[in-house]
Amino acid sequence: MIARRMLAAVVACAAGLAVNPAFAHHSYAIFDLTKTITISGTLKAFQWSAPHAWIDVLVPAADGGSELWPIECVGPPFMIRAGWSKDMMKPGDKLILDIHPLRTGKLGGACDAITLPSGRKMSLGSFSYPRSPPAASQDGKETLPGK
Amino acid sequence: MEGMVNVLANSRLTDFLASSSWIVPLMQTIHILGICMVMSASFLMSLRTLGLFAPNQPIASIAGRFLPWLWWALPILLSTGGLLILAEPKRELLNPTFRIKVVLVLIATVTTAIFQKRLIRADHAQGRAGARNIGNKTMAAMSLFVWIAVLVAGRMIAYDNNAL
Repeated sequence: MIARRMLAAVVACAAGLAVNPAFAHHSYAIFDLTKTITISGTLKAFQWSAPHAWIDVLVPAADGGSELWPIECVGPPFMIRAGWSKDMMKPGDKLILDIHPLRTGKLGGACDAITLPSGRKMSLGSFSYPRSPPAASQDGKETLPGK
Repeated sequence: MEGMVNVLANSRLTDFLASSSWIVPLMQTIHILGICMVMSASFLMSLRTLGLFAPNQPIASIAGRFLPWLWWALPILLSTGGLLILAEPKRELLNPTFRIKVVLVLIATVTTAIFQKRLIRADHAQGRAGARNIGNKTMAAMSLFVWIAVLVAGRMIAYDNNAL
């Protein structure tokens, strides 16, 4: 009887999992992955968090102020494999970012690559979002993850 | 609040949890199993009270079978949820939708506790007549609705980034 109840519970849970394939992160549909735009700004915060890391950038606005662009990255385990680290940038750093913008036109997007103040370009390469074209480095060569 | 969250976000613990390739997925999996337990128990209790499930079985027996699963699931959800928050403190603690979810969890828990007491008392006193009590049916619908609202709010956290 207990075994039967356990089986029923497992089946119920499996059914629950089947309708809940994505959890605590959203689909990529909110980003326009066919478009890549470049923004420049000052780092407000680099959130080394899971399931997604975030780069909050202040981008100069037309009115002389600045606008906050929250840029979503893949998860830190992928970023580590692509050569990124928590300490690679700090608030106040000037950054150039290649991003896939939000479809809604609001400020924000998915990170494809960033250029650090040193001029070093860090790509998420094959760890970037699905169907994202390989990012080219400044000299036109493809940047491999981890390089 | 924001200062405290920033300290947390820069802590070694958050770094450790976020950098791990398996802790967050494992916590999410256990969290989902906990959600299954709560939602199954809540659905069966509410549907029984509304007369849509096992109408020939006493409510007290349904409550005795399924509600312990709900009460066991809550501490599991609280602890796995806590670790998931520590893996991304800013995205959760500063998120208006997350705060709505916390309030909804509290309302759902209290509603379920009151509902359970009421049903067991009614069932002992009136037998099957308890299920026909309009107050009980209202509570059943309310309990189900609030748990579903918790589910929706939890899912919507990922879409609420002020700018997103």
